[in-house]
Amino acid sequence: MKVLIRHISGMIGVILILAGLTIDSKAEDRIGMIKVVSGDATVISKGTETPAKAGTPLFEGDIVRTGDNSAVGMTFSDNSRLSMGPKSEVSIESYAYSRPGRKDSFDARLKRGSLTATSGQIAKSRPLAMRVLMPTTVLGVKGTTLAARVGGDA
Amino acid sequence: MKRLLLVGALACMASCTATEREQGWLNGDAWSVESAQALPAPQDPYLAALREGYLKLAAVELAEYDWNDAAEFRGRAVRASNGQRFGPLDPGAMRIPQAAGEGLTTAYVEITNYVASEGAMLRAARQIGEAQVQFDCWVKEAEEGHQVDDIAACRDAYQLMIVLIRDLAQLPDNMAVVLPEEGGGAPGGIELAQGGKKILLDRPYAAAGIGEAFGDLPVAEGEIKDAFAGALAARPKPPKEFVITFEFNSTVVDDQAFEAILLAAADARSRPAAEVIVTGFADAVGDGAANLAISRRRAAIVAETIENELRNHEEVSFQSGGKGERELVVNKPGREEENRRVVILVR
Repeated sequence: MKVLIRHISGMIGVILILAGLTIDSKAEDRIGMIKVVSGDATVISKGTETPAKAGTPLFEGDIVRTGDNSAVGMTFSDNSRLSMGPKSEVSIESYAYSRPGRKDSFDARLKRGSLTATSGQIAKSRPLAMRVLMPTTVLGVKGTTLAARVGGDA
Repeated sequence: MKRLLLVGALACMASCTATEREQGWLNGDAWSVESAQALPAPQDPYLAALREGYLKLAAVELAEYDWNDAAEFRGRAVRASNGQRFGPLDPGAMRIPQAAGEGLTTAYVEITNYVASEGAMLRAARQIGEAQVQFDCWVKEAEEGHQVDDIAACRDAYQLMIVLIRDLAQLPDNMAVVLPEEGGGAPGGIELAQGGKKILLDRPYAAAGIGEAFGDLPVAEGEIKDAFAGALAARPKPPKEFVITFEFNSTVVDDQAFEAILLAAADARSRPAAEVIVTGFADAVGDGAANLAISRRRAAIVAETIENELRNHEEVSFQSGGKGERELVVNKPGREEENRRVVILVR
């Protein structure tokens, strides 16, 4: 069984060390995870492009791309969720949740294609701290689910 | 007028039904543009466009002594004035010479689709009404088949309008829309900012165009579901919390708590790449260190139990911890059960 145990950020918690477990050194930086993939999709993380699959971790700065007839759904540590339709590209430009020295914020840039976004704790505690950035327009989320698309020169 | 009545009555004698006679073929009301104009204009822009357009066509036909067409267009204007919605004439149900009817079938499908489209109607109702009138004009002229200039005039007017509708009716490439909350309730909304201008969208299916078309955008639920079908289908399930409470100073997982753990495990199994986050809370009263310690023990026991339930399920990740002192302060004072809880978050 693949089990990842990590200390909840910002808490004085116990870490359950169980036999045979691996502790991912990057887990602390993980901000989200791919949950749903259909068709062809990739994640570009620190310049390296890999196929997206359920369980692929997401980090600040990652770019997610979908191909024709493809879609991806992901969740984040503040319980917000994003999903992308075909031929889409979304980059997680900034993300901070319960991080010492940083205000909670979430900027996802929709470069092309379509997405849905459901806000989580970040927008709940700081309205408009979750944003969807589009070429000409900024969508500040006050706590809701939205859909947006970029197909032209917006 | 007497001559009109006489001709109309003669025209009617051969083909009118009793109802048509009752509706005014014999007294001239069937083609009286004046009496139709006296009816109140509808507020709906589509119906208003139909009324206005059909009245004009009826007047033209009347001036040409085409009683049947005048009556038909007048009748359509009256129906629109009375709030009835109806589509264009079906060229397939009429005897139209092949040469005169070229392009009608394709156009009929297109205008009929626009009339039936809720979204197109929201954004181009008046233009769709005008196009329908011009289409019916085209059909009627084509049915007669010999007035080439009249056929062309109606067809060209229709085609001019349909080009405009194609642009107005489709959803813009760049847009944003608020979706309904999955659990119901009012959405908090989104604020769009572009070039110093702002738009607030705060109800389900409130939408705005973005970029050059920046502004409020009426949309229909069905077309949004179609336009975002791929992204909507890929939405992960909403995270779900399972709350387990403990007796004072106890770490015993009772039957009720175990049932909640089983439910959480079942929920985790239903999700791809599930994450299980176990967080313990404790009473705010008494010794802080002891409270924290028991909070941790409870969280550890719950985490161990649910992990055991999920031991054969791949790709589950766990996080477990007890709330720190800072979080303990915000708990309600006293020994409320709520303070002695462990929360299992599954996402």
